[in-house]
Amino acid sequence: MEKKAALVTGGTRGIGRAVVLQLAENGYQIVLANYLQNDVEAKKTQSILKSKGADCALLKANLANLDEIDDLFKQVKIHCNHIDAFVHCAAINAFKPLIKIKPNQWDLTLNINTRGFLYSVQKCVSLMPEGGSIVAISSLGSARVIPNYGAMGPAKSALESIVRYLAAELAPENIRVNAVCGGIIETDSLMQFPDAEYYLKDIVERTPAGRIGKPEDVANAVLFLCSSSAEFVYGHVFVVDGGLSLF
Amino acid sequence: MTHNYTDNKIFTIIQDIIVEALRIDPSKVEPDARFIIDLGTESIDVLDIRFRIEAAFGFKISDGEVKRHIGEDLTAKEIEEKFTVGSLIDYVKERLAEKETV
Repeated sequence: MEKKAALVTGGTRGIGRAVVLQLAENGYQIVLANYLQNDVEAKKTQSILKSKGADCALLKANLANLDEIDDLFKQVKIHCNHIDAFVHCAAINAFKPLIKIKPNQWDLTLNINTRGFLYSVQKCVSLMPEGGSIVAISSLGSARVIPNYGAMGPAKSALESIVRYLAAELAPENIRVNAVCGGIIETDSLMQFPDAEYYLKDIVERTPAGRIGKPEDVANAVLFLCSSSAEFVYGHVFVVDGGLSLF
Repeated sequence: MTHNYTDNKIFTIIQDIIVEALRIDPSKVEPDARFIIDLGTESIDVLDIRFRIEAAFGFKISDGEVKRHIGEDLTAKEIEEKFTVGSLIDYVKERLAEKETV
């Protein structure tokens, strides 16, 4: 029987790290973690994965560069001849108001968040001959205004739209495509928001769950969507926000 | 193998990259221009310029490499002062020379 394999972009820090660990702990024997920056954190993630017995590899690639995505998938094929799950966590942003976003910042944000996802899925399909699950990580900024969220909100809106289209188009291939929309999640990038501490206090007060999210909260939802328990879930945006968006 | 970049060619390529990324007048991109203070470069722009340099010159830049090239253990203020167009040109020249010796 072939080993269960997953590829996770942005898979060495924050939500991505929680996702790869969750997958490794739940039956994925091959976990391929793509990353772009911070070799130290990547090695740390690899070391944790290995301690859990997963066959893992770090695949460095800039998803804003299409040639590097091509190379990424060549590397994937060296490690496994199929993928069961593809999770797109890679993201980049300039934390400032959208009105102040410069064209190059817009391009880089959209290229990594959305075009990088679409092109990766296009490469991924041939690695899912028996079907599979694809999950993109979105955020509340896709449909709501988050101050200083810059180009990320529009990028996440586009990402969710891409998820719906791909879910319909890839359903005949037995490939399910969904998204997890995280609320305010405790990651390094959260602290890059201007006035982060004041902002977080306000968020906690407005969140029915009484806390901000942990990367593991999002990873749990990803695991569900990748599992057979979600076999009838297509093109869904699964909100994991502690109830923040209810108000 | 010897690289085919003259000093002037390296400057022109880097100048074009910065002008295109930041959409600023080429006349502002002088060797003494400080990225953060004079050109208004933000952290995401630094990443963008890094990617463009990698694509233009065909080598990868690892985390913190340019910062280390400018100087070890510098404060944020010192980096703001020393991170200039000239320092980036010097770094690229050094990397191209390394490629030559490999």
